[in-house]
Amino acid sequence: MKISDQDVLKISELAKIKILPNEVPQIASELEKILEFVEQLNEIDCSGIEPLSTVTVAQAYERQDVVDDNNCLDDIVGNAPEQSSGMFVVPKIVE
Amino acid sequence: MSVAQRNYTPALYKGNWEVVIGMEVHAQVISQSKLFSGASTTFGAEPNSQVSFVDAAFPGMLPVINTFCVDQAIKTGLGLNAEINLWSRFDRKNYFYPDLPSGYQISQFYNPIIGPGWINVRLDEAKVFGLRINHIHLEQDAGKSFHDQHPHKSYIDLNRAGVALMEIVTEPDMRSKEEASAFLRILRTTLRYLGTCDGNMEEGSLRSDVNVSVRRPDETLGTRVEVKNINSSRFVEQAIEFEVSRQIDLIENGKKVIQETRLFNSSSGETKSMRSKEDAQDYRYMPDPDLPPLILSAERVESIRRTLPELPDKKLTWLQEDYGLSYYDAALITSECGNAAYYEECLAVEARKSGNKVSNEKAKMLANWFTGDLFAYLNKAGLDLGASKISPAYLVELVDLVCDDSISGKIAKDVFDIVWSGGESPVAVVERQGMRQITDSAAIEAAISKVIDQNQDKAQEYRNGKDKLFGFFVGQVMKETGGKANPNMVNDILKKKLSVDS
Repeated sequence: MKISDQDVLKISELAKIKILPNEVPQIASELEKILEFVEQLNEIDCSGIEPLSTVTVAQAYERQDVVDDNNCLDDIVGNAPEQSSGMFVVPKIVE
Repeated sequence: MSVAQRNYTPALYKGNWEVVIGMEVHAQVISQSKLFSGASTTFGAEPNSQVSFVDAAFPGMLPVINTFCVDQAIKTGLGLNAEINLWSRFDRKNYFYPDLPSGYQISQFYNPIIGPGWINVRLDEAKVFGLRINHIHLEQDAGKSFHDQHPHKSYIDLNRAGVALMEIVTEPDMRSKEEASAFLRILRTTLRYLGTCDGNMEEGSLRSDVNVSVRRPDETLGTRVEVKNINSSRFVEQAIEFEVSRQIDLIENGKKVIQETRLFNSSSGETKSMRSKEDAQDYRYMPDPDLPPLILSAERVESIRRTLPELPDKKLTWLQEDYGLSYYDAALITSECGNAAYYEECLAVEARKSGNKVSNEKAKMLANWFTGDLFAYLNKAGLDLGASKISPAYLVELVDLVCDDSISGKIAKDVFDIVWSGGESPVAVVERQGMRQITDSAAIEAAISKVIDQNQDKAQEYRNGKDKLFGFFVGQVMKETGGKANPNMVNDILKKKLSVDS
């Protein structure tokens, strides 16, 4: 699959990852190689095979509706880089 | 009950535009603990006091699904006449925002727990339409951000993160803002009957995303715009009103509606662009490897089906058909499950007392006292029905006192007032205060004779043709008897007495 410079810029915009103009051609060709590699999977014929959703247990274990893991504020915010009045403090988010 | 065909033609907008609306409603599930953790769901707790390591996405923590939340989703599905998918699965919806510490929301994208269903929506006595539900899925709520605490920082409270939501997705079957808000009202009522969502709009228990487009009738669907996160039916109407005129203006001016997500501003009543489809996030949905498929047994679904309450639409029908209530009364009584339970208890008490089915007349009287007097008192006092000292048994007792002529309707209002504030039973109040109506004709005759004696001149004027004076005599007799004389008997005896010279 061909990846154009425009594709790279669009993806960088969506992923919020800054890519400098001089890096674009190299990243485009690397992405292309990755996709080519993954495309090998298309050689396998898996028609008629149920998609595998999990490799562990077959069925979800369900817990009872009880509050048994609560009021551990200090443990929760204890490792936060910044906290105030029991809340996590993060750089200002502007929509 | 079956899905209704729309029995009217929706009006076109500005003469020739058809409005097409679909909704996604996020309903918070009533449960003690969160969808995948043992942290509490109680509203309004100290920030981050109801957060487990799972909710805060600490490394290595694994989600385990809450069995009651699954039951609640099944119950909701059954209440909305939907197919229950015995095999469903959870997917990760990836996006980056600080109120979502794991970087993905656990949701159901490919295989939701509830499949297609429907609900009948009534606009008024005459108009009804059937609305198709596309599916319902379970997902986690996100935390809450505060942007006004600090000039350069945002504050995050994760108490709500991980609380179970049901996302109820409709087909684009609504054709006006009125239909959309009527749907939201009946959905809220139904969820409250089912006990699966408290429908508390102020606490954000019911939030809607509204998809709006316009087209010429019979043309293919126009480009839709999604207005996100609206928390009341009034705001849903305002957002639709604004979007419809905005889109029609664009098209009539030769421009195009672009597919985008917009935000509703409740103070201006306007919507503004949040992001266009071009910039749409790629959520990179993938099956959540931490959660095996959710497999339900048919027996489990059936046992939940047996716990379903009777839903408002059905009650609305039999209250009108079996007890002759007006649509207005029946709709008011069924609009809240607590109201319906109260009224049905009144009917049950009355039926037990009399040993017969309650007559339409008595049913109507009970409805009047309930939706008129009791509602007015509750409103004035700012109280819920549950806090009322007037129980269904008391209301029945009061109505029976009126029906067997023990008290007049007017005295009944006084009795109601005393019962309301004191909590004593109506019979006890009537006995203690000597309010029982005078039906002894000798006593009434005596009072009438006394009044006529004292007003000989007016009696003569009446006999000479001044009919209007009859009301004066009634008033005087009622005064003489402390308002307790039976009004019909007063009328009859007074007419006879006045017509003969004394």
